[in-house]
Amino acid sequence: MKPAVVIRIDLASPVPAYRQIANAIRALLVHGVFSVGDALPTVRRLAVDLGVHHNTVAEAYRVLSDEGWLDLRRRHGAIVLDRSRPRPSREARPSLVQRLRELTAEAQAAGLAPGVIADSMRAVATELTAAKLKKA
Amino acid sequence: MGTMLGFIALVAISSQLAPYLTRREIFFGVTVSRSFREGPLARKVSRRYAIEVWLLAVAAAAIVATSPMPFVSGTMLLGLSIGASVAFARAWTTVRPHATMPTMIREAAIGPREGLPGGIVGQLGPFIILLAATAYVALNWDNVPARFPTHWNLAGKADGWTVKSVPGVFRGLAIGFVACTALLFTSYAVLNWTRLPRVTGHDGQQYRRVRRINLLAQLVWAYLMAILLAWTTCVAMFSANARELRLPLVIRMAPFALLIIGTLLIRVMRRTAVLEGPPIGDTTPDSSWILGRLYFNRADPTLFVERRMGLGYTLNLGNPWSWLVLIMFVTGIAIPLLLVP
Repeated sequence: MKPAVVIRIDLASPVPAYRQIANAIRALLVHGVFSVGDALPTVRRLAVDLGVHHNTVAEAYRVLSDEGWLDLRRRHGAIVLDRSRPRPSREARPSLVQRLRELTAEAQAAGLAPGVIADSMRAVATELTAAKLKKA
Repeated sequence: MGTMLGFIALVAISSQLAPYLTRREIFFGVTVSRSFREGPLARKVSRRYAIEVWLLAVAAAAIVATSPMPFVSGTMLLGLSIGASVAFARAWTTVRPHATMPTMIREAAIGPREGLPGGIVGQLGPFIILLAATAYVALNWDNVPARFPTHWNLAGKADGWTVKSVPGVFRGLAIGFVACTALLFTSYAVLNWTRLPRVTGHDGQQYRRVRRINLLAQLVWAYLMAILLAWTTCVAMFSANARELRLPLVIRMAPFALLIIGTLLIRVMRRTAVLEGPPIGDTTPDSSWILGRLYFNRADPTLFVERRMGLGYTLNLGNPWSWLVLIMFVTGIAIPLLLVP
């Protein structure tokens, strides 16, 4: 992390403090001030520095976490994520499984045997694994 | 007699200076505008406070000079301090309605924090001195006299004695360990759990320097305490002529010299800060200060804040952790004292 990066907020502004904090940190993230894996100050430390309640900073971090900028790990503070690949939402995986089920049902309804569908899905999975290995 | 009058003068001077040893925008513990600070009411408040403090000092000096009773000196010093506090509270009450809203801009620097002055070795120095003194006494236990001095009056003469026992011998050192731990903890907390009103530009630089001086003063204070307690343990305790032994003048005067030099330096530095626009203040609301001395703000997560009068920091009593800190330190000091009858 580079030293002397400053966050500035105005508590008299009509914009809520948590939003100002989130905006300020997002601007720093967009400009590449932080590298992937950098740890932001803890909620407590930033709250003390800015003279705001812990919940205000926690809310700002949650906003950035929801946008995929930060990984909020318990006891490890906020870690900057690589946002080139957006962080999947909590519902993403159940939603994918549901869609796959609907697709297989549709395929079965179209007359394909379960074994054929399974083989097809296995082939897709192999392709995904190969792509992941290639990227690594 | 002369020494005691000197102490009264020192207390009077300290009390006279204390309200002005703070940020430029804070006047008798209240955030005020420049126009108020330079106006007739402010001058009147300053004048009245000075008159009250010096009248008290003259009265205390007169009583000390004329009274033959031995306990009068300490009582008068205490009375002068309490009287000066009452005078300050009166001034604070007068200024309070004229408080102005400071800027609500807040800044935070993200990055590595600066370290404590002196580094780890420098900060551990007082503990090493106390440990060495403890080891010396333990190794020379057989030579510890049956009765030895443990307290000296303001003139530097022994006036309190204790008989040989483990709590009696090690009480002073134990208190020293607790006090040095308290100072080290405070320094760490100030560096990590307090905020600077500004972190950028000239003001930010000045505020950082003021904090540094405060931390240095705390470190020097810890060294003075450790040296004093090591002296009382290793020199005074084993002295063949303890009754006539006097506390070295340098030890007696050093805390006062440190206090005066430190506070004056901070005053000068605060005056040199360039401030434009609305007052920056100290980022604490005036409404959270009780009589300009005690800070109580539940909404503020900080543990320590700069005092609004004089050198150093004070606890945010609205933070539940501050009560734990208070209880721990009071208990740490009280236990060694209670162990010795």
